[in-house]
Amino acid sequence: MQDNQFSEVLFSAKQLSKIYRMGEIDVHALREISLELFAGEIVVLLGPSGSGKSTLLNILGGLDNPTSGEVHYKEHNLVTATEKELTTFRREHVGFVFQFYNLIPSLTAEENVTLATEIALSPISSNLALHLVGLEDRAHHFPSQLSGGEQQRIAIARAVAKRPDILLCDEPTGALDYTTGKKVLETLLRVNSEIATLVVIITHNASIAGIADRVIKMANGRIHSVATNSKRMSVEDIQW
Amino acid sequence: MKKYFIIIIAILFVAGLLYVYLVPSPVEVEVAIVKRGIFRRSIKTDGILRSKDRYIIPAFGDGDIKRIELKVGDPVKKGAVVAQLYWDTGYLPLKSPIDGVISRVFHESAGPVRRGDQIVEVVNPRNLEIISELLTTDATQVRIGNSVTGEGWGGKDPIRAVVVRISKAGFIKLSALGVEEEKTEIIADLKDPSSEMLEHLGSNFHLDISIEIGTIENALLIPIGAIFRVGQDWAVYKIVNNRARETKIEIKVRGTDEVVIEKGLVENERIINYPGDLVKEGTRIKIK
Amino acid sequence: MVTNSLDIKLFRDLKQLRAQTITTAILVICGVSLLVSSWSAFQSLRSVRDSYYKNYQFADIFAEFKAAPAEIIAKIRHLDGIESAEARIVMDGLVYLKTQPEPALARFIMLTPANQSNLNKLYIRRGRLPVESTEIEIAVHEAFAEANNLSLGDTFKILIQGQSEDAKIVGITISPEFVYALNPAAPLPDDHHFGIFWLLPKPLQRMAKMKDVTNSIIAKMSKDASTGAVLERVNQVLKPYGNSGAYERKHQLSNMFVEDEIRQQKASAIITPSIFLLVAAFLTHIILSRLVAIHRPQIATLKALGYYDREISLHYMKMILIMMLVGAIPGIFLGDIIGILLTRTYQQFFHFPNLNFSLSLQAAIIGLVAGITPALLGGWSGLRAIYKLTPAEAMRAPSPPVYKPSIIERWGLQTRISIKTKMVWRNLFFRPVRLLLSVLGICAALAVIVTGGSWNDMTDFLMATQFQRQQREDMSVSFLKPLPASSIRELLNIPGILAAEGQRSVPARLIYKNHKRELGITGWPDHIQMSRKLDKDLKNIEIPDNGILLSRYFQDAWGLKVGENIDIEILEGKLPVFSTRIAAFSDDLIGLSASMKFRPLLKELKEETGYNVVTLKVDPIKSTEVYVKLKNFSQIYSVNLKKQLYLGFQESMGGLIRVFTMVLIIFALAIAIGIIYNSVRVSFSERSWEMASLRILGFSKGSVFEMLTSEIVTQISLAIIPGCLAGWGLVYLSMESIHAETFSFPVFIEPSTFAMAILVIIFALIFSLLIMLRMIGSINLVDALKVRE
Repeated sequence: MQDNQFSEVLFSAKQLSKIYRMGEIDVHALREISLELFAGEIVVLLGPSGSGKSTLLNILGGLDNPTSGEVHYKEHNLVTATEKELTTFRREHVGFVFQFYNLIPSLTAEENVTLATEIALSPISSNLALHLVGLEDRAHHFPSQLSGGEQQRIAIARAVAKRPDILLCDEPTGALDYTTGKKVLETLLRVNSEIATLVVIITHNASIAGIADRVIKMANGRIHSVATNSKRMSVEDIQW
Repeated sequence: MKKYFIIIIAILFVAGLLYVYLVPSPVEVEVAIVKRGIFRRSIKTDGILRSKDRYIIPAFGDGDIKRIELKVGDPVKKGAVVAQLYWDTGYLPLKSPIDGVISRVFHESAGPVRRGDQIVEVVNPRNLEIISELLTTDATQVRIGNSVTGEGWGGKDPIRAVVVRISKAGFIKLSALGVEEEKTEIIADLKDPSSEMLEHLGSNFHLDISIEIGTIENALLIPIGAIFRVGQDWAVYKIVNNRARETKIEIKVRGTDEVVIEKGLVENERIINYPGDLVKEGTRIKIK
Repeated sequence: MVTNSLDIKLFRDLKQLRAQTITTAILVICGVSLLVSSWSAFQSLRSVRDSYYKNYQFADIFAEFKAAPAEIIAKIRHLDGIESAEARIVMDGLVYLKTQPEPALARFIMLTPANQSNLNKLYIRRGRLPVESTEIEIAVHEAFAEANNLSLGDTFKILIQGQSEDAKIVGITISPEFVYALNPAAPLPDDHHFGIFWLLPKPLQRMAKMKDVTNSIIAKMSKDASTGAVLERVNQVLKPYGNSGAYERKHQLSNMFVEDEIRQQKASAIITPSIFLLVAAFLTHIILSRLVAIHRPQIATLKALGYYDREISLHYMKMILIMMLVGAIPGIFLGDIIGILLTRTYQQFFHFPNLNFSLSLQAAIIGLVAGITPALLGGWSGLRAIYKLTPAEAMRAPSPPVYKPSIIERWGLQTRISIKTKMVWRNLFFRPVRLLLSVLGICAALAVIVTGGSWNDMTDFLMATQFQRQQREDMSVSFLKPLPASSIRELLNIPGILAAEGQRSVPARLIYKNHKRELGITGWPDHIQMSRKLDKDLKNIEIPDNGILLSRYFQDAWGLKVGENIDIEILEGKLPVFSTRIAAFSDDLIGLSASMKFRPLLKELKEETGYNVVTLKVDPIKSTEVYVKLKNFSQIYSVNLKKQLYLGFQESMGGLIRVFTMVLIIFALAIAIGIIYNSVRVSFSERSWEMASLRILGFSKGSVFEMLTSEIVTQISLAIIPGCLAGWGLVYLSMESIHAETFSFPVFIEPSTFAMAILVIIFALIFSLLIMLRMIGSINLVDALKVRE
């Protein structure tokens, strides 16, 4: 793919830093990060654990505030936004997929998806979302009755049902086996192609990076390198 | 090991709680000691002091008497004029026959009197006796020589007297509680009255008297509050090892404050006075 | 209503929290039902009383005196501030029922003819009012009629002032003057042996030998009149007639009891329910905090999805509100039932035309609001936590809780203590607020039980002191007028009377500077055995040889000191006035008293002798004959059977108090189980992961159980002493709030009550632990480890 295919800047971050306390210790999660993310692209954030990937993702998604620096989504300044504004931002524009699925245990698969569609601006129906991830026949099962992979796919269904501009995925395949992991990645790709969302995937698994448009390597809270894949691999072709 | 230790302590604790909860606490009581002493049977009633020397001064003839200025309690000397009767030509004096005080004035205002009418009574306040009206049934228990004590005259020590006469004639009178009863008069002489007493006493003074009608020497005594009925018998609660034990007794004589025991108790034993409903056979006792 | 996903989650989550919902709901039910029933009872009692008094013209002013010419009423009517007044005769006598061997004490009241009667109107339950007839027609108070199964048309002999005649019942009535039909001589109602009767003037005047004479006046004040001034004026008019002092409604005997009950209902509507609701608030706090902690990831997810803080808080708020409502709504219905039961009990003692319990809307609303309040109070901090939660933080693994070395470790004792103990210890003190709340909750439960038990203890104590220690006589008689010592001798001569002690009692007015008080002075003989005075330490109070002994109240309220003089006006007989020295003050248990020795009192009365009360010890075998004989003396005005009073009380009041205590204990048990169970449950689920780890490491089921048990036992142990103290304190406070003036009741709680309180807590503990035991057994170790949060 050529660089000029992705021209709309969705995110622009300048000199982002984040320090947080863990017990009695200060952790420098991000050290003066600057980057730009474009609409419709697939970005993989690669790096070992502790490199700051999750922190960056959280800040981009408005789940966390940086200690210093700026970050903008289109024209919205996320640093100066109030809690309410951030929530609205997430409601209208962001879909999350977490490493540990974070489904509501007391709701069925379908209800978990509806939870998101009820507050979205222009969602797709929860049925359609479930169909997208291939789990319509498990609609009335509770998370405790689903395998890890199925739960993750429900989480994806929940995230995409909103038709978000951005899909932020934190280690989406981390807890899954090889086959299921691949299935999940396929879903993500499909969403990207059908709805043109910016998909940001965090992983420590370098092989996954093959499916991305750009790979941003991070280490110790800094961006180590930003590489562009001239050609995106299909999910079948990657192995780990 | 430590675990068992703790469990045992816990069990003991709970057992202790159950004990405290279930076992009733000891009852506080008043203790009386069975003692030997003189039992005095007495009758308590009202008495009146009366002068032995009482003189009623009559009108010696028909006529008018002047208004009598003298009042009850006024002292008069022997020969003093207590009233004046107009008879025949002029006012003739009625004189007091003794040194004494006026105890009654029958005819206060001026006016006509007939011969023999009672005008004034003069008494010797120092020569006093006690009279009391007893129920005839009570009077039959009194003997000449019984000692009498009188209180309520204002002084600290009681007045002492001795029964000298028991009237042989009874009379019907309304009792204090409003019942018609036959009564008998008892008369007692004062015994060695102190001069202070004589100073303060007077005729028609009221006394609360107590007539001793019998004594029993060396009697085994308990307060009357201690006795209660068990069926047809009398009993008391004896205190044995801090518990109340029902003990039947036989009463020889029952007084109004004390009771003389015939059988059932021994001197110096401890019993409960006025046990109340909280005390039963076996109840644990706490002494006040 | 379209249910959204959050609401679906709400109901499913609530299902999970069934057990906690129920335990909290029980507390709320208890609190709300007590509140609703008491408040409704308070309101209905008050409104029934107000309308009864208004519709039946209950008088404002009352005066009793020896005797005055009937025309005196004209003077009273003309007094400034008096709107209307009636003169009547009130006479005590006897009534001979065919069903009882002994006569009953009767109070006969003159009935003004129907067309003239304006005040203290009678409400006719059955029959009609008496009219002129050949035989004496009489209306009887329903209390006496019911207790003795009397019907219209029954005839019996009545005795007034020595005159005996037949009378026929034509009406069964009640009067606002006798809502509480109390025999003034006895402290407790005795409907069997005391009756109130109304009859027309002619027969009453004839029998009482009081033609054109009155001895009682009732009056209504005009609006805006000053009560004190009016009373003064009435007293002035009645002064020469042996007036014992006019009084207002506040001091009218029957009304006093009604007032009292109303006031107590109001108080009880506030105090006890508050305890329950406070405890419910504690529980809600614990439950919600735990819930928020456990749901941290869910809450974070919701925030991530774009739910506003407000929406999320509302969601959890709804949860605890529903938990409260599950208790509040049944509580209101239960309150209704309790109220109905309460009213039935009232109907036994209070005679109103209609006393029906109706749940007032106001009470229901108050109950609902009160039921919800714990949710708001207790849930507040949990809701705040929701707001403060940043999603990112919530999705991170929670940082290991900060454990600082505790005191024991700083002292270097740690090597001696096992790991388990250390874990227990640290866990307890890690969250001091949680620990404090648990302990406080258990204290509350203890306090409630102690309070309940204390009522039993104090009533027993009062009865025992009054009847077993002070009044030790079997019977006592009062004379119509003072009689000489030969009257006592006469009594002693009655077979069956074993001992007799005489006293003299006179109505008097004590005056000191600007203070005045009407009170009876008792003249005690020198040797008292039977009827004694005891102070609050149960020691004998010595009557001083000279001067007067007064209640401690006079020292405190009037500023009197020993040695000072006080003026006394005697309100009967020759009405002497004298001044006497205060010899000492006594700490009476109940009521106010003034005592002197018999002879000095008589000296001041300028009488030579005169006893008017005699206490008797009676042979039980002969007690009925003695009672009958005594009742038949014309000079004897009343005969009191102590045992009868005592047993009567045991039956009525005693039973009531036992029921009340039982209810309180059940409620306290609910509190205790609620707290203990929830506390253990919270510990358990919070650390099920830890427990599972321990089990995998090799700790046995027993060890895990032991640790949980140690925690809760420690909490209970910490609560025992403060809880018992709090119970003592609560009783002390409630004693203080009742009748400050005449009650210096010592707080008396038997050790067995404390023992019972602790046993109830232990029972709650065992119950909760048994349930816990089952749950521990069923921990699925593998699953527990998987779920980190």
